[in-house]
Amino acid sequence: MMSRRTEILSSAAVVSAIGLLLLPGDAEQIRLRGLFGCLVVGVSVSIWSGSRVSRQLRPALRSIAVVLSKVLKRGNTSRRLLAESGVLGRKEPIDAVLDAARKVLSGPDELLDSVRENVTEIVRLYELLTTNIAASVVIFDDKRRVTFCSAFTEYLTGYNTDEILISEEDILKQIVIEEDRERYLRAWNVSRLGEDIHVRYQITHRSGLRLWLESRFVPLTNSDGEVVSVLSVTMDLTDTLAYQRQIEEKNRDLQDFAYMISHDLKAPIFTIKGMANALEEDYRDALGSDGKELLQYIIEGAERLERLVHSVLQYSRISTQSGKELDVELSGLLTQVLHDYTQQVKDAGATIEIPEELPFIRADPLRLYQVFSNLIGNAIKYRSDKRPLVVTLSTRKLSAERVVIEVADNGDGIPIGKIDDIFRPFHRAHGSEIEGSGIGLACVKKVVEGYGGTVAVKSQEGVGSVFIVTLPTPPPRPQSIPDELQRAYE
Amino acid sequence: MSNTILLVDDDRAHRRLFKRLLERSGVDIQIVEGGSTSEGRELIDRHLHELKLAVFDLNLGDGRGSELAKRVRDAQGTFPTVVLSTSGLEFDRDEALAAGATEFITKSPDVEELLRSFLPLLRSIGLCR
Repeated sequence: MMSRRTEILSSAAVVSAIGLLLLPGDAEQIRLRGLFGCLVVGVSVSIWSGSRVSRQLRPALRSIAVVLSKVLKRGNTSRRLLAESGVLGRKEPIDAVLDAARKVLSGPDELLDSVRENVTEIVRLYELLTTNIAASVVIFDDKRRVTFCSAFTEYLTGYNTDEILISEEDILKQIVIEEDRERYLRAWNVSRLGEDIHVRYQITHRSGLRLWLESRFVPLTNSDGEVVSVLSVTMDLTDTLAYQRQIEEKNRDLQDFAYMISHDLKAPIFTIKGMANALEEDYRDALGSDGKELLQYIIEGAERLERLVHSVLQYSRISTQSGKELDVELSGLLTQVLHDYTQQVKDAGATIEIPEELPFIRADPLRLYQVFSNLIGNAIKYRSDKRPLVVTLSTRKLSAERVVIEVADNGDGIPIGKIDDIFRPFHRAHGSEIEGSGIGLACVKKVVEGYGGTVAVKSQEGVGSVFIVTLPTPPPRPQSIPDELQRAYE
Repeated sequence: MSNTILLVDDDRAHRRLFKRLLERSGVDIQIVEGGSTSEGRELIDRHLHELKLAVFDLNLGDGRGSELAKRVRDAQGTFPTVVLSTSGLEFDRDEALAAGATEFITKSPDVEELLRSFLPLLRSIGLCR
């Protein structure tokens, strides 16, 4: 089956022959001999992919137009004329162009007109595209000679496009820093074997600046499916990576902060609780009932502080430590959550309804536990005293890779003005009559969003709340990479 | 043979609490204590052959308790070493055990829990009835 790319390329190949005739002019020396090596493909691509090449090719195109008009008039003197125009050897591509041109010229005028219009429009669109795109577009032939090079390449590398096209040196390879060069070439070779591939590497810009680039190499095939050239689209990642480094630095600060909390805030809590316990044990009689009551306040205060520190740490760990990604069986995980709430469920006289069939979720089991433990724990904690608590969990498939899980309760509901802030850290819908750190739902949001999911809530005061979570399900198994590609990339 | 325990922690209050906890084991023990890694090093060298147990806090003002555990291991001390930390973080545990500590114990504010963490070790060296 002919691929879309091959189809575009083949139509462009026919168009290219016409394109030559559309650009008549004085004969000029052909400068782009490397490009001429694969004339049909190269010229096709020039029209197919844009302005810079069109401009660079114009002298060559004019030249060939002259040759063609003479050829068509004088018959078999073509070989000599081609040699005079600077096109040496390369018999087949030239013949292919001439054949295509003859075919079109022998057709009716209307056909030629409509083709001309189409070509003009295609050229205009591709000129717009390659002039304005903030990426370097380069086409290599199968020997890695550059046959096309978009304007942005000059900005990205510091070398002008003519240099890149004409130079015998492989400039685009030479500027890749030594440590990354082999990897860069391996990726190119993989693409040469027919595979799309991305590679990230550093180059030294002509000015001496070090830049981070990412190239996508795409093989271009002929009508037989053979790779005849490789298209590379390259973006500058330097700013993105600098931003990423800033975020990593902030993350490290957060980690340091979490570490400071772990050590420096926990140490005084240990002292307060330890000493209060020692006082209670060793001076029980001297303290009397009043003294013991005061001591109890100290212990309770220290315990509240301890829980708060624990919550803050949990929240910061979600941001600073990446979790595992496993296929977690939701039913097993919920069984564990309910087991850990056995006593609370019994004390509340609650009914928890969970469907028998539940999906697998792609996430870290510990973090997933945190999500459902928080949601079910909240339903129990904020239940209504007017009716027995019923928590209903339901799921539905959103797409092949995403599932919706709803946790609904008939509790007190969330006051209308507090819904917007409910997932923000340290924001609580209820006052201090019900203890809580204000971190639980913030953790739920952070975990879920960390897996590309979402969490939302619908609530009506006095009726109940529904927490709606979307999470990823395991992806289909990846197909194995063919051995030949694997070896080429290794 | 003397029941000497080395206790190094830069927090005076914590030392006091651990002394109290160890003394509750019901066996006559002697505690030598220090508040820094430099004092700890000196005490290890001085008491190497009479120590029954050494307890080091991980975060000491002038260094790490894990360095002291390593010093005991390098000096081929035959007694167990415990590294304590308030954090209980996984990488603190890894650091302590990699340095040769016998046990890593989190300073739990729950005294009973803390005692439960210490008991098996104290029993194994005959420091608890």
